[in-house]
Amino acid sequence: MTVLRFSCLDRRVALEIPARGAAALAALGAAILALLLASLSFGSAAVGLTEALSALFGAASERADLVATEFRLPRVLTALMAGGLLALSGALLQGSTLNPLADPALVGVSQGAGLAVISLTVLLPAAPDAWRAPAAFGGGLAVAAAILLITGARAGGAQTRFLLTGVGLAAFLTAMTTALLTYGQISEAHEALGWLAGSVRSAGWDEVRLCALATGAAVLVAIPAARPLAALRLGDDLAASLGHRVAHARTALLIASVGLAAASVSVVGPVTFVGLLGPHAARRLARSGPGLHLALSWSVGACLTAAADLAGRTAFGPVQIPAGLVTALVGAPCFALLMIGSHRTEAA
Amino acid sequence: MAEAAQVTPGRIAVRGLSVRRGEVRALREVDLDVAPGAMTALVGRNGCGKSTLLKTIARILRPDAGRVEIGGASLDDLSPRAAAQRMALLPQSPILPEGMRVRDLVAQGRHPHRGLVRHWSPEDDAIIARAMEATDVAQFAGRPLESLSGGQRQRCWIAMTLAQETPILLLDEPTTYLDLSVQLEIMGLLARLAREGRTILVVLHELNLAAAFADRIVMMREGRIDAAGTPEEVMTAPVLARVFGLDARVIADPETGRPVCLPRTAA
Repeated sequence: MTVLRFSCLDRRVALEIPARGAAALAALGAAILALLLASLSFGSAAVGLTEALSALFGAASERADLVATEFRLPRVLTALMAGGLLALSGALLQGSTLNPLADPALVGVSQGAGLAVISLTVLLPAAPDAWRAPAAFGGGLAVAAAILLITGARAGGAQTRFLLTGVGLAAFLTAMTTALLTYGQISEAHEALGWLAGSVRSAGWDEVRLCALATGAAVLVAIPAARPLAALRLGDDLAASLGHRVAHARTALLIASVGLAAASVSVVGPVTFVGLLGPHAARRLARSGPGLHLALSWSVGACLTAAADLAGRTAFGPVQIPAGLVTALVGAPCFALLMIGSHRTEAA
Repeated sequence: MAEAAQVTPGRIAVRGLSVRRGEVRALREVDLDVAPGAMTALVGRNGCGKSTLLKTIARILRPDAGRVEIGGASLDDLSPRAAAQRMALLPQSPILPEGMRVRDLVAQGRHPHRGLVRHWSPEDDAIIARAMEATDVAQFAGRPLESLSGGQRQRCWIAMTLAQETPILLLDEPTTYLDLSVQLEIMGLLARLAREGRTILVVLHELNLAAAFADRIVMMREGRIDAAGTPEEVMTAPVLARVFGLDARVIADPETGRPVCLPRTAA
């Protein structure tokens, strides 16, 4: 129960973090650094760890510099940030709907974003890549709006309906996407298929910039989100009597969640299970208030996706398995284990 | 705070309040003055509108007509945060977040007093400690709520509303699902809080509990207030027959003199 406390600016900023949560956050930070270095070093063209490290600071041989910083660095940065965004999106979605199974990739938000991007690729092949992100956001938001319209945007009894509606919409959107791919030109369809599997293979500095922008936005969203998330955990009535505008807060959190998921999807495609697994694993790692929970979720999501990409491109090299496929393969059993574990602790 | 200095901050005034819930007229032009610094019990049959009235005062429900004033200010003129600094609500079944510790729950009461990135202060700590002392849960501070009994848990929720530091406390059936001895303990706690100067408005199901502890009883029937006054004034056989459809005798408790309702059970 040890709690670390910080304050500055005449106590206008005063935060407290449970010691275990701070330790978990530090461990995840170390894991992210380790994944970063490993991703720079491992692969078809081996680069030594020390060489990778010196390449980061621009002091390596030309070959190491090219492989590590031009090809691998943007890729691992994109994987880290896209995964973090997805997990953060999942945490916001779970917190605002009080639904522990809410995941942007499960309730159709990712699929909506995906369909929008595929439509763009297949129907308007000449459209610039910069259109992807806004298209993904629009598609994701449309799905979120549709779910809320159908379920009536209420917490409590509507939770199951929220999930079922989302799962139904996700299936429908996947079917639409498949239909679109069948009718599309073979070259565009092929490009779209690779993207749909959730891959960071082609990630370059443009993708890194977009992810960094979204991550910056995520930080700005996470800070004011912590207080309403804390209150919403106690139920709508109590949140309202604690001085929160419940409907406003929920809508804002939902839009933020969709925005972050859309940014991630527009870059790497719909990567599944990270949005679900990230927040759950974060909760297992340390008991925490919503602010710390968001930070932990981001870190877990970043680790998961970067590790999935690293495993996918090195395990069966030269064949590259997209990160999204790896997270689905690893995520599903992990989630089952989490569920079994939570039943055990409830029984204990 | 100028207006609060002129008017008692713990005063609740309800004027011409009407609320529809779907097709049902749950409240029909209700007028009510809740006595400041005392405990008022809202009673009535299921569906009489007592919870609707409490929730409308607490701003959970929006009235179709009429208004609610707390401490002399209309609810319409108060921001949610300002309202939350004046009254606290304990809903009937609040959600308990998994694994939450007692102190963390009580600290949630500080919400309306916190800033965006100011999540604690020495004053907050003192207020949270006082709230836990007042409800006798300080010894559980570090324990998860799941490990406590129903009565202990309810005292923790009340501590949370106390940490909100409001002159007004609204509670929706705080004794439901508790053992009788624990019901008495909770009501005794509320009576003490009222004696310390808080305005307490509590929806109760159990008539005799209301009569034994409340300073005033408000009886509702079909969305209207049927009778209001001290327990002695409203706990009479004719009122009970009219409001509850109950054939009952009312006797005085030999020790406290408070009225006790004894329903006739002989065939």
